[in-house]
Amino acid sequence: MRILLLEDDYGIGDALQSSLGELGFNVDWLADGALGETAPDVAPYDAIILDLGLPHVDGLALLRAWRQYGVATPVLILTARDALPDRVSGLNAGADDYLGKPFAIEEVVARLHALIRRYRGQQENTCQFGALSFNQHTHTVTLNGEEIPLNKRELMLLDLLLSEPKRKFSRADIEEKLYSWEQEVASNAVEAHISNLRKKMGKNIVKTHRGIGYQLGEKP
Amino acid sequence: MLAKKDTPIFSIKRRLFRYLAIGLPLLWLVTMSLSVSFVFHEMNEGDDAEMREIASLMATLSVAIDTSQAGQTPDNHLLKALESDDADNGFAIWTLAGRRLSADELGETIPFNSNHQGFADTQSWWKSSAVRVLYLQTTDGKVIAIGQRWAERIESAVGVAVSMLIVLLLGIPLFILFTNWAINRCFSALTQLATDVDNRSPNDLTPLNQAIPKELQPFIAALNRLFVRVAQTFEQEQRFTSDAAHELRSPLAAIKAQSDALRLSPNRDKQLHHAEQIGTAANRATHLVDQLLTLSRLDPMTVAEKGQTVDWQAISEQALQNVHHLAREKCSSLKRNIIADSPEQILPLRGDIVLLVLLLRNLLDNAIRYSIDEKGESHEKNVVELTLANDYICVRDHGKGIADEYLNRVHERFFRPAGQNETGSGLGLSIVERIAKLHGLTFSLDNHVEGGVVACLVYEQTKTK
Repeated sequence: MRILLLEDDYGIGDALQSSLGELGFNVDWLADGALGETAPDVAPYDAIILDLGLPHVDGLALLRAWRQYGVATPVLILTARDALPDRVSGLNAGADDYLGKPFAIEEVVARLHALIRRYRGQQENTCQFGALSFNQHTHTVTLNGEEIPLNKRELMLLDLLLSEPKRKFSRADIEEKLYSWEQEVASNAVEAHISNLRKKMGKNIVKTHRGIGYQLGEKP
Repeated sequence: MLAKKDTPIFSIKRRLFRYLAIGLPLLWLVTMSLSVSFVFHEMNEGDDAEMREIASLMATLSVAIDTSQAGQTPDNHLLKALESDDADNGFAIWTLAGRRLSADELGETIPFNSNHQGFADTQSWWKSSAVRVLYLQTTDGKVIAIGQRWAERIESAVGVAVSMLIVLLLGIPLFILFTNWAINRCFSALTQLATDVDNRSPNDLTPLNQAIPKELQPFIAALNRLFVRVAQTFEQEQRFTSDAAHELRSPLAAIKAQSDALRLSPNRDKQLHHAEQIGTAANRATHLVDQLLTLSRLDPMTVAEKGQTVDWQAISEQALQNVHHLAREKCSSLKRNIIADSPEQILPLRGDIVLLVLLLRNLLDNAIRYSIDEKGESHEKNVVELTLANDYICVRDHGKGIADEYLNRVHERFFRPAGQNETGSGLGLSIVERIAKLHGLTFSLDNHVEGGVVACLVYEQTKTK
């Protein structure tokens, strides 16, 4: 899952990017409010973590602008000011959730999952596809009750395909979700991940549309 | 609340009561004695007039009395009628030669006097046997004297005085009761006010608006103005506490987040990086707490300890030594200019050395941190200059300066201009300003025309010149 993080405090931003990265998220971190205005359009983010006290453009102003332009990505506000009036004004500006500093990384992750799930219209953390079961919170995939070991990118790819079963994802769509802009991507990286998924879960799990991209295949 | 020992407590009520209870009866007594003497005087005049009338009546009558029968008491009805029953009034009639023709009991004691016409006293009036006498010579050569004892007149006057005294003695207790009631009634508004103020909660700083006597209005107005000032201070303190708490949350959140990241990091390099970041965040929190403590110590001070004469050379050396490490880290070079003939001539001042070192250290610290140019590079002009002169002290850096929009706001507590990477509490300049003010110095911060920021300390008097 790809996350946009807007946080001007180096200590917090650095730690969030690193921790969330370890926990299966792909995090793009920006520290200036002025850069944040167009950031949600740059990549298909699953959620945004927004600090309110940003330099140049205030977090709330940013949030209002996004919502005005029709950016629907779920937003988790992260701020030191978490008194009731602050929460209310944040939620009124279009935030989906609110978390006060200091916070535990587990709580950030749980809230991000909840936000993304709600946004995708899922009820539970577990996504069921035939005999395949994918728990987004624990990052475990089971087929007929047996756990299948998947690496971080494979998990992200499976999550992406499961999020919109009818959509055909181009190679660029997938690369964008799996890697941040600063990461080098080998030309055959996506093909490699797809073939790994097929090896582990059966050939028909992913359907290839030649010249277009990939789509979730038949239920195992 | 207890008053200080040297400010004695007095009760307006008791004082007022004492003044009234002593002053008014005294006034009453004076008035009474004046009245009595006035009445005595009037009575005398009345009695004298009466005596005059009687004398002229007797003169008319005596003409009709046969003088040939001198030596005999004339058995005349009219004269008989003149003889009063009491011994206080009397008369005597003589021939010009001094032979008494007629007299009653008192009349016999009246001495003959043919030379005097009109009133005379036989003795001083206050003596018990003194008699007021009116001598009159008739047309037919007789001398008539009408007498009245002074004792009778004095008695009447004393009677008047006693009756007035009785009224006074009965009046005083009634007056005291009335005064007491009136004073209590007047002070009830004050008592009520005291109760209301006593019952107030410490947070209730709304103005007092009870119905209060006009005389108390200035006091209440002053009290209400004080309430406004206290409320403002209260609000400032609250905002400061809340700001301070929020400012502390950021480094704490960083420590927490970095420790989470440390726990989750699989490789050694990343772990080391996060551990280092925990240290940085802890240092930030410590610095913030230190600054807060310094401010909390400075805030209640009104005047700095006028300790010793300030040796700016020594102070600046200490401050420069303190920031030396930071300057090395930031590749800044420190330079000190002294524009004075002797060190004693530099901004002569008495004050707290420790605070003044802190002041210079904060200014130098700021200058070093922000002397880096826009590209984040330190170039050859990356010099921080401290200038000590006769009438000012200033610190100048050669950085990018402060945007005009922020220039007025950098003094605000916790304000940090946007878009900077330097960590700071946002309290440094507040501390500088506070220490400068305590020493009667004016602190100003401006962009230098040739770039960079210049922070100046000037004597308040010098500046107004």
